[in-house]
Amino acid sequence: MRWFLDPRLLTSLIVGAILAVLMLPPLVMLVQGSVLSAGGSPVWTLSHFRDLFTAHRGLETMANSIVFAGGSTLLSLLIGGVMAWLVERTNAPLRGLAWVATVISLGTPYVLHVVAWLFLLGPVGPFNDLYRMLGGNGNLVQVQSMGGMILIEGFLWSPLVFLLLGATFRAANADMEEAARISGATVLQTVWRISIRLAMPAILALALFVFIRAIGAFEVPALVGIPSRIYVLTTAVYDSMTRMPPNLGYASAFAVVMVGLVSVLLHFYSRLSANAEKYQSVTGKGYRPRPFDLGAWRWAAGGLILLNFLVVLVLPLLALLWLSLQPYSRGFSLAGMKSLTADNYRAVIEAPNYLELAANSLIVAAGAASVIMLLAAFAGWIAARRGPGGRTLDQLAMLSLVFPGIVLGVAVMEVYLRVPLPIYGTLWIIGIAYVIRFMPFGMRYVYAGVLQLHIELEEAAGVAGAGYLTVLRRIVAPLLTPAMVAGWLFIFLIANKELAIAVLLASPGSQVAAVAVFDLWVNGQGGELAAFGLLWTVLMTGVAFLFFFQSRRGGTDIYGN
Amino acid sequence: MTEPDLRIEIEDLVVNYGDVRAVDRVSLSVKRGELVTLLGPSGCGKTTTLRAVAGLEDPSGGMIRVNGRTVYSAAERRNMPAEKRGVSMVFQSYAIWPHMTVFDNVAYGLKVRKVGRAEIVENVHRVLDLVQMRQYADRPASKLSGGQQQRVAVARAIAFSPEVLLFDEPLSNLDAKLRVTMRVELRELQKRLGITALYVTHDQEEALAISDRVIVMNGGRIEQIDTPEEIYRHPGSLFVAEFVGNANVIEGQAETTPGRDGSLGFRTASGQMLRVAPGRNASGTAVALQAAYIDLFPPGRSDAPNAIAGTIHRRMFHGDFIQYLVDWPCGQLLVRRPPNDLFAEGSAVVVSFAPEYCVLL
Amino acid sequence: MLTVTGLTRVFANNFDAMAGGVRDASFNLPAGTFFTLLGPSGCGKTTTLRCLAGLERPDAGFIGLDDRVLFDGASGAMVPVHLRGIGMVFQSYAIWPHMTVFENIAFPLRVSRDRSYGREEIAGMVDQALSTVGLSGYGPRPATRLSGGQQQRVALARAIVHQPKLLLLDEPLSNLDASLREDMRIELRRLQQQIGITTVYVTHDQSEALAMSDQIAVMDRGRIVQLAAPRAIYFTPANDFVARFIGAANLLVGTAEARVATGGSGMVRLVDGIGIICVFPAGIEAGQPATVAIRPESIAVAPANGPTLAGVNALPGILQDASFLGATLRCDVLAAGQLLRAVAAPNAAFAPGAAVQLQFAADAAVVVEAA
Repeated sequence: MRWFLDPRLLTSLIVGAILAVLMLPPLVMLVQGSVLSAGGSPVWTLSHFRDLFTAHRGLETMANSIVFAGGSTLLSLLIGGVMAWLVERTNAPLRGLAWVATVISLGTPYVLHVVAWLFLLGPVGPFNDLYRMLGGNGNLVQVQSMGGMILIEGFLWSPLVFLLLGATFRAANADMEEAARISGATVLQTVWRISIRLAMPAILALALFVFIRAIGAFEVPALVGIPSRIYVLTTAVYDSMTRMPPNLGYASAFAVVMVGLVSVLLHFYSRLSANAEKYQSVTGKGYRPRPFDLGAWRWAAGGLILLNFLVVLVLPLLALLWLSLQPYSRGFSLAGMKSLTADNYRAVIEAPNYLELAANSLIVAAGAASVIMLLAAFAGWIAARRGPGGRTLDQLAMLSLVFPGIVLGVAVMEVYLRVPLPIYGTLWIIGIAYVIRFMPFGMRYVYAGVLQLHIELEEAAGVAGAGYLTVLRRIVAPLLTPAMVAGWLFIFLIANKELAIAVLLASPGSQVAAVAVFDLWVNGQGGELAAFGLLWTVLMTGVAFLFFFQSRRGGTDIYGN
Repeated sequence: MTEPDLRIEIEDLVVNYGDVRAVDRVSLSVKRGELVTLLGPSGCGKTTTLRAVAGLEDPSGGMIRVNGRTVYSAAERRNMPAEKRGVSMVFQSYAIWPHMTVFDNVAYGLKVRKVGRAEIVENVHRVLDLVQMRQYADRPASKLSGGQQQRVAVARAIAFSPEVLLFDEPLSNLDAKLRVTMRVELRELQKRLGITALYVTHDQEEALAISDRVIVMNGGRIEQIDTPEEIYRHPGSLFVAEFVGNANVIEGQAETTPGRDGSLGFRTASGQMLRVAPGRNASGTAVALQAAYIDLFPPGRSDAPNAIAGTIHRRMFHGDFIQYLVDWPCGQLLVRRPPNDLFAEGSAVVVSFAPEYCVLL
Repeated sequence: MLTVTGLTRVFANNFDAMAGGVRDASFNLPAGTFFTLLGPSGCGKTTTLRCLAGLERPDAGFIGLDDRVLFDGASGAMVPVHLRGIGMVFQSYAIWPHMTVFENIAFPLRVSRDRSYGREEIAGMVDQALSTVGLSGYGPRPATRLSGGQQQRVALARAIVHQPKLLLLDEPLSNLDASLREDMRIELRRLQQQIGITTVYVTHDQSEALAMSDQIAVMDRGRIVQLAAPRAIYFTPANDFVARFIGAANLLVGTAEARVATGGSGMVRLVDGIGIICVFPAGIEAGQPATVAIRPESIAVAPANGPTLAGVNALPGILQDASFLGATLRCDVLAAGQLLRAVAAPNAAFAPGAAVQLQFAADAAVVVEAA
């Protein structure tokens, strides 16, 4: 009987129960929904799955998903990788611009970015206008295509790839490369045969991670793909949920297929990253390599960084600015300069519903971030210290990684349709969906943060007479605070960026910012969308700068690396 | 005019880290076939000097010549990249590439120099034999112990028959016992192959055991350059006396005229009169005396040189020697005796030491 | 008084081929003893220490401190780590970076469950601990602004401030520079004797163990292979593992000429026919193989045609190499078919290739059991 007096085990059980209640029902309901027939008295059936492949072009949709995800992964790896290399390993000028671009993109909702690109590359946008002015016919860029989708999604993800690859390059140990130089290898030979080979496992793991996220992407397929009739798995799910009546069984079947695919990919991802850690330097004394001197090529490198900054950041923001100052959506032109107006901004600032909208978004995100960090603090600490039930807690907390955003929306909807809690159609259900969705990130932050604390710091407190709670309170919590704050800010930021979770769960009385932007686009209200979007971005960018400086100070990178 | 016999020459080398001067006008030279050690505490500039020779640090002034070629010169604005200097190096962390086998690690330098396949195999096997790692040739390098990695690092460094070999504290990550065995092996190898070596360590026993000459450094400057015996017997400064061996430092004032036997009188701060050896450029205010050169006798011996009564304060048995802390009029004396020379704590003794071992600082 | 009986803690798997952990360790320490667990990595010394601390749960055995039972495998009783009231210095020092020196040292007093300490009492005890370790006045300093040596002293002060009955030290000197290490050895030993606390010390450095301890337990692959005072370990190693681990021992192999009683002396005939007189701590029968351990410092190097002394063994050999070590000249001599190590005075003039004789007393040649 003595075992359950162990306070760590007790904590583990409580936290585990909460996590289980959060994570498991959606998964169960999803699977259930996919094998039950629609209608009043459901029976077991595989008809949904059969329909997937026959009636609704399931195979084509899956193929689209893979092509889309693969193409955008490669593009973002290319852009983000080159930027990361230039910034972390060379003496290229203007390196700070890459960081500014990343921070601002952290504050920008995805849907806003996509809208900007749709405008820029669209039939009435400046690119095609320029092309026509130079004598071309029709459109140079056909953005409503798979190519357009891949391009925009690639731009969307390159800042994050930059951050993660940057962390890998920064962790490079000098002496492996110095040993190669001493052995007679030139700089280029060293980079090719040593630096890149050593970083390869980490790069592959990252590529797989980005691919998994791209499979679950929603904004680009929704805004660009649907009008072009190019469906991927996520938009197929959305489509079947937004018909009248919603085809829940079908959406669930699609969702289950997605979950299966992502689970398999996640399995390979965890194998790859375990391998990647083996190649990291083990001796603590390693110091960072000197930056490569690019010589005359410095200016070309600086030019590349500037180009990236302009294309990925400045252009879209300028486009939004333009849109926000126009009474209706029109291309760049001198005539348009005359009709600049601040009406859209006035509408946004004066209308009460925008303020309420902003407040809702902030409250829900803040609430979810707080709940996540609280649960993750205990779960992450127990898991990182291999306490009782640690592995189970880890797995439970990471479970929602298999849900792309839209799938989670469906699953949460199914659960809370049946559960007699009056939260359906309120902000609460969005908050719960956020908690489920972003728990893995909180977990990663806490886990990595705890690992950075030498366990002897806690053991010394134990030997000195402190019980388990005292150790947590007086030793772990103060030292973990930087990681916790960074995690909180990160979750707060990305919760506001994502559209997919909230798009199915929001209702007229309970809207968040990303959904509002989406609705405005669908309704053709480009001007107000741009005005609201820019104001929102300014606000969130402030938070993003906070996050950036906090994680720099605390020593943890984004994603808790 | 450069003599072909000098493999490494450094003149007035200056290296700055930000506003800290890590190496402050250091000059030294290493002859062909010599093993010269840079010895000093952490932060004294020894590693920075070594890395500057390798081409892994950017100096701010001075000149470095390797094998008669100028590889760095501030005046001529020349800074040859590391891979062209023809020096090889064993790193403190070994820096063995984990994604290659042992064979590929060792062969890398030869491959980059575009040596033929058959010759590569022959060379790699030859050096692996020298370090007794031949049977591990096909093992992935990530699966080696610390001692094994160290040997592979050495093999890799000598595979392309360099003329100059640099060692950056290669033994400090090894267990105490392995350190002693490996240093003998390294010295053996260096002498057998006739390689010129510049070695860095903070362990003075290591430096004394394997070097032809020792260069003691402190705060970016050279304190003394000499053979191990000379450094030990005739430390040139207080720092060297305290860093090398276990020296007692006795303060006082020396006389100016030597006595009949050539020794100098030295009055200690507490009033004792000692006979010491005359010093070269010494200020005469302190005397360094190595713990190992002090004899202990039972009370009553007055005919021994510099005999003074004292009491055993503490005895510590170290296995191959016993260390005593002896209370005597000038404070406390550290004395090292062979393991069978036993005196009980608290007993009265007479300490004695020959004037030739008292080095005037 | 620390009593440990049959302590066992075995690990399920390990990355090396060696099985980790400790098996069946037993020792009794009178109060105030400085006791060292000595051995190579993986021998189980740290596991033993952590079992004493309560950071590992043993599989079996008994640990008692004075009249308290800390662990009893038979009944399953175990006092948790935070209620043991002992002091420990970790290898990494584990100084809490978000506190000052004062707060670090005061911590055990502030979280104590046995009794509560008043503010002034705490301040007094912390000041006392600081002065004991030679860091008076460092109280207000943030812990992040301490050098390695200072962190070590703060860790020590924190371990003794609440006047525990047992002090555990886990390789506390291994992160220090060579010269600082030697100074700290003397310091630590002096402090321990001044306070009079029972101390268990873990290290892999044999000269450290020899210099500081009252008793040493040499461990090999989880077991204690010899438990004795330093001089005994050094001069009469129990087997050749101990002989080789404790110092550079010369090991000669031969056969016993005649039967010898326990503790007696007799002749061992070496491989090339030469006979040497040795002592046999465990006795032997005629014709049995014998391994003889001789310390290098016990062997004097003399010119080959010099005088021999009665009762002193003289082995002819050729000098291979001589290393100057400052206080001594370490000589490698080829004799009796192998390379033997001996010491000579630093100003001895022997050139490589010279014919020499190695002289050593009979009681310096000790017959050891093979490990």
